[in-house]
Amino acid sequence: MGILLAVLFACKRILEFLPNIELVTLLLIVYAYVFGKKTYIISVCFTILETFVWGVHNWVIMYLYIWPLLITVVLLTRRWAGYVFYTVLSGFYGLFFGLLCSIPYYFIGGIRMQLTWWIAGIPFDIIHCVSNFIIALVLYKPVLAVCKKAKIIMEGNID
Amino acid sequence: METKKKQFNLKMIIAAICALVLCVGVFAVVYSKFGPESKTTKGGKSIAIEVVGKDGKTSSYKLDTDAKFLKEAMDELVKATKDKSGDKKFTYSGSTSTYGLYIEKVNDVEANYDKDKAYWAIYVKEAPDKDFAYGQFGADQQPVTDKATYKFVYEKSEN
Repeated sequence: MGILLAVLFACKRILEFLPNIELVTLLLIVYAYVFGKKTYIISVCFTILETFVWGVHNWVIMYLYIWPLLITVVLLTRRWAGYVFYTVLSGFYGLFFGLLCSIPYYFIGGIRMQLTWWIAGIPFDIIHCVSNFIIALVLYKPVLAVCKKAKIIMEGNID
Repeated sequence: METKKKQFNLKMIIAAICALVLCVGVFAVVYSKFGPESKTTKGGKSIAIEVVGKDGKTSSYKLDTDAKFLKEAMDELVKATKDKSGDKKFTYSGSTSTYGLYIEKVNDVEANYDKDKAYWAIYVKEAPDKDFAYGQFGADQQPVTDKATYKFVYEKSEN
């Protein structure tokens, strides 16, 4: 679990200079698909680590429901869903990321503030959507293969 | 039977991708209709900029500008008043982050949130017959409209 968290955190830090281009969505999808409910712990620890780096801000609240929500979607769909579904989900998640993130602003300043905040960030959501889609399209299968192998090793089922 | 299932899956994939593209289109339309860009107007605009400093003293400036966003108008005002002195001179400085421009100093008065929980708030009066409202955007995203007044106020957080 620690290694999975380290990979997640390292990928986030490496790509931080590119706005809204990240591997967190893909990794959490694959982690949830392969490792199941344990991914909730990874996502919470990831948020704690990010808070150590960047300090407490509104996004901490967002991260505490956004990533678990993604994990929940994967856990509910993993019996029948596969590569294409998760690639499209990844794109949708990037596109709706700003809208999901804007929820706390409803409680801070009402619907007007929430919508203004969301709409101002739409160009970044579109970048997020396209990049998430392409990243999942290219990396979903190899990352899934590595994680499946890691799970077999973790469970000691390898000769 | 297998062929029918494959065809159904293919249709689902195409439908999902179309839905994603459609959503991107809808988001782009929402942004163009309601985003900060939509509120900007081209051509000569007469605006006023006011600064309410730490001591509550107000400095007022008039500016004719083609700027689309407040930051551009502020840059023009800095140039226009660079040879003046006292409260007729307008200066500002700030830092840029992923959230946009964060104003730290106006007319050499620094608002340091870390030190004394102070910040420069932006208030907008869209027309002479309207009241000031708390700005919904940062200076680099605040649209400039004709006959509007933009007020920078030194404020301290009560929390």
